[in-house]
Amino acid sequence: MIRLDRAVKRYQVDNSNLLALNYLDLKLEENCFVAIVGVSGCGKSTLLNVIAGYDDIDYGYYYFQNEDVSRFPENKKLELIKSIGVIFQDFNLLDYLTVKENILLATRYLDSRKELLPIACYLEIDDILNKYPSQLSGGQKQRVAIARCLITNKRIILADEPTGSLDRENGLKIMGIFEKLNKEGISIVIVTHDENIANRCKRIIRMENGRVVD
Amino acid sequence: MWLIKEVFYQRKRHYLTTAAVCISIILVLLVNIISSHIIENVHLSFKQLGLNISCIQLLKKRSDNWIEKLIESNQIEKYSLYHKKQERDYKIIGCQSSLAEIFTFNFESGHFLTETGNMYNDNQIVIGNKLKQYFNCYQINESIIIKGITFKVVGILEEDCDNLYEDFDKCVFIFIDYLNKDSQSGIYFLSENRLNERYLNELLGKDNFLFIDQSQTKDALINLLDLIRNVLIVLAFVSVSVSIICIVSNSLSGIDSRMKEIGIKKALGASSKDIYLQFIVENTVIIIIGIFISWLTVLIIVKMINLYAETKVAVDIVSNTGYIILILIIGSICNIYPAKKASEITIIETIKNRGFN
Repeated sequence: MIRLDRAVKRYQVDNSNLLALNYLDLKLEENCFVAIVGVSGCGKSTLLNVIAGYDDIDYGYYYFQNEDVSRFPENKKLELIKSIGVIFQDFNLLDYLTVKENILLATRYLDSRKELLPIACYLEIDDILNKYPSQLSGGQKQRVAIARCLITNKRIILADEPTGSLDRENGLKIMGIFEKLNKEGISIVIVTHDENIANRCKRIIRMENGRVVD
Repeated sequence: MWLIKEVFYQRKRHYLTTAAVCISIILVLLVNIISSHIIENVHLSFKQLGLNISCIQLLKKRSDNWIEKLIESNQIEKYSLYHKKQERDYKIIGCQSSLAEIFTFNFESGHFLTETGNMYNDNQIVIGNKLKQYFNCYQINESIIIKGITFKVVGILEEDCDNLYEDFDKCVFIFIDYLNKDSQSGIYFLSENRLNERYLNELLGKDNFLFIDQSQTKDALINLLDLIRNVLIVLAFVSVSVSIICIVSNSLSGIDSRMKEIGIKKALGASSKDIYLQFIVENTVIIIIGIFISWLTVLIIVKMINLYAETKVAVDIVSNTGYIILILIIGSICNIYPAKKASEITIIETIKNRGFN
């Protein structure tokens, strides 16, 4: 499904080159449930940005569904972004929209959409649909962010420290949801530095200095 | 609904910008409506006033005894002195000698016929009351034919125009020989002998009066009002431009604070075009709301004026709609730059900016 061959991503920091991805090789299968772990600055988030289509690699290859992403024109790259759901540590909900509007925001840019209510019930947020993000707990916000991915029928969800802003109980709840979603056929890739979270995934990928080490 | 929310929710500065736009547009529309009303009323007033006489503006008074000197020179054969009858100053009545024979009127009872060539250098004439009836001419700008010569009537002396009479009696004489010499001054008497031009020139000096036609007065006034209106409209448009610059500046500074929103939307699949359109639509909505509120306010103000000011101010839909369209076009063009800037922001830029994490 996703394959990176000798991927290199450089950043210019204070007049010196920083190799965020250092000839990285990675293969993620269909319906995977993967945790990417590593210390801060090892390139986890950069890898996630590249997979999500937010950023380009400087060298190497990125294949998505066996197609070379580096050769994608703008519109096809947009399709890649649309086909992958991303969940962030800070939830990234728009404060001026209600929960319902935040979830449906994703459908403004996509043709395919699912029914809102079953998803809301599934994630236990059906009673807070008319509330604003400022009125929600961290766990609720993260479930809204997941709902935003599910409403547009995403088959791959990338999560960057999804439990980073949550307490243990809510963190476990979110992981439970990911496990359920994975069982239903959705591929989940979680970036985390929490070993407990990583241990609940089927596969753990360890990164160090922009490379996969394990 | 989302759009209205996106435009106004938690963006209080939009309220201020919208208010600024409203005030500017109200200014443009009111200036246009009120000045149009004033100009229309000037037209109407002149029409209702119905004074068909040219105004004669005295520039400088001649010496008091100039007419005696003229009479003493014995070059005048016929003239009329009214002062004995009416205890007034001199009243000289004259007409071109070539025209004299058609008159059977008693000049001394107040008939008046004077040619003027003052402004247009063509045959013009001011006629008195009885000549008015004789020629059946009751309107200025009509033409009368005297001995095959066509004259445009530029003034009709009315019987009741005492003041005008006085000014005219004392000060204004038309010298027919000067008509084709771009002169505005002169005197003509029924005279077999030709007046000594040089002597007369010395006596009369330079022109001391101007004929000002009623329509000229009206035109001058309307031109002045038009000028004032145009200046005010330009000033109002400057005010609109300042408001629109406010919106643009607001949008530009808003891009930074809206990094998170742009990042989220792009991550959800919004294209650059979507973001571009969103900014264009948002700012256009502000201007349209401004226009709507302004238009409503202007209509209310006009209604109030009509109710309480005993006047009927009409709203010219066509010209005001023109101004509104112009404002909309200027606003939309000015919004292109911030919209383009916002649309060019990438997800990675928003992530690095920590607006989106």
